[in-house]
Amino acid sequence: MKNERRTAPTGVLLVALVVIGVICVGCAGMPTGRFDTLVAASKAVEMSTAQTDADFVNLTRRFMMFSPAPGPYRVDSFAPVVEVGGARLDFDFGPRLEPRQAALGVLVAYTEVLAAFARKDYGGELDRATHSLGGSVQRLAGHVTASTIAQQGGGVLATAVNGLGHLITERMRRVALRKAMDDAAPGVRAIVAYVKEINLLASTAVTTMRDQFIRKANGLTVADGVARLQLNEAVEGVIVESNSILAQLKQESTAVDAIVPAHAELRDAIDRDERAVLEKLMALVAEVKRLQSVYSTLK
Amino acid sequence: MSDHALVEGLAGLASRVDSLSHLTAGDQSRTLEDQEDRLAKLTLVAIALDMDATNAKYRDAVNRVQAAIDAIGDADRKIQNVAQVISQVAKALDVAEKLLTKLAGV
Repeated sequence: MKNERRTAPTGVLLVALVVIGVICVGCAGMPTGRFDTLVAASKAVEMSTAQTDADFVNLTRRFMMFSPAPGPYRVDSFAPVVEVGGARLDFDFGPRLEPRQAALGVLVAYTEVLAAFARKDYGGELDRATHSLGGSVQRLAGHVTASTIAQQGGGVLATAVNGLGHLITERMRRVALRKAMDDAAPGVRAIVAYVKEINLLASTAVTTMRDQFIRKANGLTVADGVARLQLNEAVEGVIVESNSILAQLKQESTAVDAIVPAHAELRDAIDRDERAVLEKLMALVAEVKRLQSVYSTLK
Repeated sequence: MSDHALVEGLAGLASRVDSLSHLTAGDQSRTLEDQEDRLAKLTLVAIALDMDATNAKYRDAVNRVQAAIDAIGDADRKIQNVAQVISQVAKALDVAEKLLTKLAGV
């Protein structure tokens, strides 16, 4: 009997401890640093892609130096146009690259909304980030060549964060954040798939231009001497630049691909200290930056 | 519905035609070089254009390019009938050229 009396309060105490423990987990600080890391990674991919696109445009200009329009020089002699079957066909890649950049802008703006909400930055940052996301989604929708799936993906992200308001308790904020991230997941996947698809097209363009460039250079007859050295320099420059762009595109695709599992892990680990996936993502982003600096030194 | 099968097909065929041009000589080699040049240009144009995969002419172009790829195989020394390959590539080029010229609004 004495033992029973002693056991009862012990059991109640244990249950109370568990309840308090659960409440404490609910009260634990939101892992805002991890959301900031996701923002940093998305921004790094966006910036790196913009730099790669600039290199890609330069490569196209070099390609046109070897394939100008026939006849006397005109202002459009070096415009990205090829003559096929007597017709002059435009191959300006700008309308292909710009929507990809807009899609990455949507992804960055979305992660900024999540980070602002996680930080409880209701003062102005959340509103600013939400407005920015709305603008990014509109910019993406304005590109007629952006795929419907990517445009819908942008819309999904904007809709998903609509429910993020000024929630008072930490538990409510976690629930709202999880729901927003669940709703947004298909949109994140659609945008990532679109970015990778355009990267693949860009890689095909780079390979095609590089191979054509080499073929044309082999068709030139240049005597040994200064002219030969100049040709060597031009050909070597194009080969190095092409390989650099191909490596960057590949690495950027790998890095953007890693955002999907990082987003999912972050959603699942709002209550846990799980950093492995984000650390992997940051390692990939660091590799993108390293590649750009390495190839910059070779140019 | 957007699709990149034509881009991939044209690029793959250009690469195979280039390999075959190095294995042949004379007129056949020159014809293959010209075809490779046209294929490369069409690849660049196809990348820049947005194409509808449900379009019947698009599907036809993809099939013609694939038929030429099948005819050329690995573009190795085992190829016996180069003339037939050239003919298949020419058909693929014509169909793709017409499609892309129309899509480009020329």
